Amino acid sequence: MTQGTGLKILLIDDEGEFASTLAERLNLRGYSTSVALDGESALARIKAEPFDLALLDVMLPGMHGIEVLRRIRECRPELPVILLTGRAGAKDGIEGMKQGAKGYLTKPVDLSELLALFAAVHPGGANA
Amino acid sequence: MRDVLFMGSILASVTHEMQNVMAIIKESGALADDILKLNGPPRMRHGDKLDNSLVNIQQQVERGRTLMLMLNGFAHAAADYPESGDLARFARQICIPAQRLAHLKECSLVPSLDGPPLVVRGNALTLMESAYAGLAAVLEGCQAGDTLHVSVAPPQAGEQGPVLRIRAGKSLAEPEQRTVAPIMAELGGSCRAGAGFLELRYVTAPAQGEATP
Repeated sequence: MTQGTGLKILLIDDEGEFASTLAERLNLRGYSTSVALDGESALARIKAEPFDLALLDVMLPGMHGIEVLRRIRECRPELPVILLTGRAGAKDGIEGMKQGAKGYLTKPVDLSELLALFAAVHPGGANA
Repeated sequence: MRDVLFMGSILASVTHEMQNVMAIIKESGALADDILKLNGPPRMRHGDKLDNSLVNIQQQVERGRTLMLMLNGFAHAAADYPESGDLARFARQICIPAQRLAHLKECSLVPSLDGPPLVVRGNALTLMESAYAGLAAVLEGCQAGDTLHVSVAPPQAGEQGPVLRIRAGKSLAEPEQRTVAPIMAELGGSCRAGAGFLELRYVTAPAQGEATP
């Protein structure tokens, strides 16, 4: 099983069951994960805690994911953000890349693709 | 058009939620698999059956994901591509539900639709409808065991636009054009049929800034 090396990841998704299950799977691989269910609480945590990476769902209630991304770029420009989109056609993902996201995946997520993106964003933070 | 856009927005919303449902099923099954693998051998009694069930869950989620992505793309199509779009992309999308039509006739469908975009005139729904009607027309004359090949090609010199070719491997029946011909006429295109094949000719969309005739 792939082992992360304590990379601290914030999962931002209003689908709590999805986020917590994915978090468990990442924890089993040695990552340290936290979950935020909306944009406002995610931004508060990002300002307060030293996350290495954020995984951000685009379709959030209240503040849209792209707006959350824009605000993350303002307060923590060095924090890599990977987007999760539920929409075919990749429009949201491409818009997010224009706004500075490091990559995007469509739900349901393929974990091996997600880990590959982690490794690309943080080459020392994960090993196969 | 307003009702089509309304249906599209509802369908897009529902498919988005379904993707979330499948994402939870997928992650839950995968987490169970992770935990089993962490325990290592010796495994529990009937552990192989449990493994198979977990593999089934992953495979069916992947199948559902493909269908849901197609449906989601379909839902967004009317709003996203009201005047023109990539013929190959729409043909790829429509081949997914057409696989079922082929399956019901015990035929198989082999799309060869990679390559650069071929942007043609027409709204997305009518373009997809034409491709689907074309596939259904060729399938009608097919026998069990036949294979349908679907491909697109850019226009050659003097041609008005790209072509969608649907060719049956064995059937020599000439496909009926009565369903597809009016749709192609609406798109400003044409169709041509022969023994076991149908060609749908579209109109290349004007480049941005170019006047529409």
